[in-house]
Amino acid sequence: MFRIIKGTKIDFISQRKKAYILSAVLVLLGIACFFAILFGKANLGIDFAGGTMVQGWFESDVDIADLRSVLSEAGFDAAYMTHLEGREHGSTFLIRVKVGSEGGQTVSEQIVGAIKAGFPGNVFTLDSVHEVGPSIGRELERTAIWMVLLAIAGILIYIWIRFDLRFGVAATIATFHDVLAVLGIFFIFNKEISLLVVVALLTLAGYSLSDSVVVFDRIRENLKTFRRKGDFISTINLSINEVLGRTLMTSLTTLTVVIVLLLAGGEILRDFALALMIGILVGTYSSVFVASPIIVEWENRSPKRFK
Amino acid sequence: MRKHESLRIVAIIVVLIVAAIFFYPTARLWLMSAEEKAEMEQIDPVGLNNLEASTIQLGLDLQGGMHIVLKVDVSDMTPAEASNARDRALEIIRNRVDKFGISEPQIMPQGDDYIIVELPGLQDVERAQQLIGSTARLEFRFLETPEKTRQLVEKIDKILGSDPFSEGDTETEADTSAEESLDDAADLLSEKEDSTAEEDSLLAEITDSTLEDFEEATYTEFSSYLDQQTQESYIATSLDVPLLKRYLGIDKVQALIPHDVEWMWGTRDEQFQGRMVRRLYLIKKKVEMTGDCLTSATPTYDQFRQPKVDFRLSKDCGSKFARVTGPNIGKPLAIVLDGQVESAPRINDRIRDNGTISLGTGATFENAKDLSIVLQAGALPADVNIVENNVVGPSLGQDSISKGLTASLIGLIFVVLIMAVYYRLSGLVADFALVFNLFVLLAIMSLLKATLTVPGIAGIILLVGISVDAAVLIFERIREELTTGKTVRASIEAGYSRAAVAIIDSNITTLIVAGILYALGTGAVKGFAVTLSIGIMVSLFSALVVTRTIFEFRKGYKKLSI
Repeated sequence: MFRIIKGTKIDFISQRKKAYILSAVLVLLGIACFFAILFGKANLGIDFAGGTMVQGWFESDVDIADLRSVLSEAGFDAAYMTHLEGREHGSTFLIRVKVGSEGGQTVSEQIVGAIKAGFPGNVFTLDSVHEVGPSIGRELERTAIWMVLLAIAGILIYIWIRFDLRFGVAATIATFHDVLAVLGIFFIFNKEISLLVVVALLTLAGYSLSDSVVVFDRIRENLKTFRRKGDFISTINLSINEVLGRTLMTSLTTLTVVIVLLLAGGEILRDFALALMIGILVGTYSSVFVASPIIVEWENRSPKRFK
Repeated sequence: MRKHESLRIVAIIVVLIVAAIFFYPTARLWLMSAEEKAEMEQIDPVGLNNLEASTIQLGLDLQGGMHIVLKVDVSDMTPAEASNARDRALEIIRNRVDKFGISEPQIMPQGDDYIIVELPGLQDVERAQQLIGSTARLEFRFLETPEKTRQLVEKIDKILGSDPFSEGDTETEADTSAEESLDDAADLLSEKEDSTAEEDSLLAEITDSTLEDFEEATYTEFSSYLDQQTQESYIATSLDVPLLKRYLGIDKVQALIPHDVEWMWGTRDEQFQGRMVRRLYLIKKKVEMTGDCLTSATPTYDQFRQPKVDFRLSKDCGSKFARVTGPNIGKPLAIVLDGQVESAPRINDRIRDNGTISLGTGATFENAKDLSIVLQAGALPADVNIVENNVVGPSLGQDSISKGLTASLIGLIFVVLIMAVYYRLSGLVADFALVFNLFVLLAIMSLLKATLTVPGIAGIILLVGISVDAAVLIFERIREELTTGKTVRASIEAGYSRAAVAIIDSNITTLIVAGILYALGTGAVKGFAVTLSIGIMVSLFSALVVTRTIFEFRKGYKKLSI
């Protein structure tokens, strides 16, 4: 047997106070991001905020500064541009403006028109257009909020049925913690929160929950076996240590595929993979340092529960 | 126990066979080269059609195409009228798209006032947008007389001249003949055009300063931007159109315009003396006839090889139109489509039951074809706005497929290696389960004719993580049992029965999330949810049945490679 983790006896629970500080910072960042979204200050993707994204390819090289001046002359001062790699010659650009069309000539048509007029000798091929009007963006925002709320409710109820309320609440808090932490990290690095990032957050909620559930499963099993021996905290510690091999192994393999996705999956999936990657790291941490300590804190305050 | 085992083996074999049957068409289509496909299209088009219909469908983000969400403007309608308007709009757009000639368009309603149009593999985006989004309200209206039009332009010049913010010495400038100032304007404008292309800063500087002067001096001279090329219409350099629209939008200019007329622009740019120009007309508001009267519209060419649309009128409309046109022979009649003037030909003869819309020198035959399509399909009952628009070029889609495939393969190889190194022979069992999962997932997607999207590929990659997780849970448990000194047989049994609970719990929670994504999500999100949910169920089956069966055979071993 080749094992990285072999019969560890780490006292995780005694370290929980330090973890609380880190978690508090992450969660506060997440809450800040949440309020920023509420007050329209967050860097929301065009799916939610409305806007236009145009990706296209110039046959001959184009300097990004020239493109910027052409677009600002056409009235798109706040255009955000990225030069994309991957073609053998010419330049590929991703242009994003926070203006969505609502009737009349569409913004993408205006952008393409300005580019064609601004670079007359250069052939410009359109790769993709993504254009969302403000009204439909708001509708999607509502849908996304519903998705998150329903997902949380569904998870809470399931864990409640399978375990008990205490575990359900702890798992839900840990899940919330993970989602908020990723949101917060996206917020400080001013990463765009797109629809795909929201999907990643929900996937992450499922993943983070699995992690907590596996630990809880073991805690429940050990509590039955060790009901009369040992105290509550050492049972919890033992359970975490016992599943540590699984926790790390799963994180390692899942991280491997997500990192490959991040590096080789292309532009569209980059932020999705990034959110998942941060989420897996945070989720692994939280199943050990957030979910289980909550059970401990609860038990400290109202013992008898597992006696 | 024996009985259980043989049941499991039968189940696995059945699943594999069924999966192979369903996956076969997809595999066959995906492995076909472009030449083979073209060949089959010639020899057996029906067969190719059937083959394509029974495989995993590629989402628009993978095969390229266009996804538009339209909002029908029903703001001033009753709910009953609104739903009627939406349904009619849907029907009309379907007609237009059908005539446009795109294979397998999807046109469906969403909510009360949205229409989704999906056009796979579409190349000409601008054309499709115009075709789908145009209201196609056709009107025949008379022009204001040239004298009155000229008077209005003069009035506009004057009122802009009294602008308190402008320079005082403009009165004299206003006196210079329109022709002279037009020449000036044309010169300056051509300089302006050059300067945008030139990078020479010196030239840019000079032009900038001249431009400033020019703008100050001519703010008061609306007419200097216009050239009266024909009696009926003015022309303006295309570059100036936005500025002129702004002028015409000023409140005090608006106040000058009589209530029975309005300014209208031509539909498209035209070539005139080496520059691109746009026509401006003053048109009467009274509508003489609408597009409802048309019974047919055919695109063709006139004798100068210019595109035009010939139309026929219904009988009732014909006699009415004859009464209108008869007394007005020699006068221009504007043909207005969605608030823009297609053309304003002179009435040569009394029009009874047929006529012609010429599209001007700037038009192509495609313009004429599209115009005839929208005229025949009829006008939309309400304005329709594009609120969401997604276009993916075919090359980008191809790029996404190859990137997704590469990422999946690299991820898969890494995971397979990690498992084999860490869990040895048992790791290989997990690897087999992993490949089994991917295969069955693709087979079920073929069976459901599910749509594969870019996020769906991400879902497949996540499945790799999910199925490995199940194996890790089981193996770690078996290892634990082995270290407590249990026999191989007892360890395997305990490992599976204990790990099963955790696997089921963790998978069901993810399934709940996937279900919610499926229920509320649209398009790509739905694609992700479908892939993820099928993946989870397949992974459950393979963890609890497939690997279990293999381990049953290993129970008798003295030492387990794990």
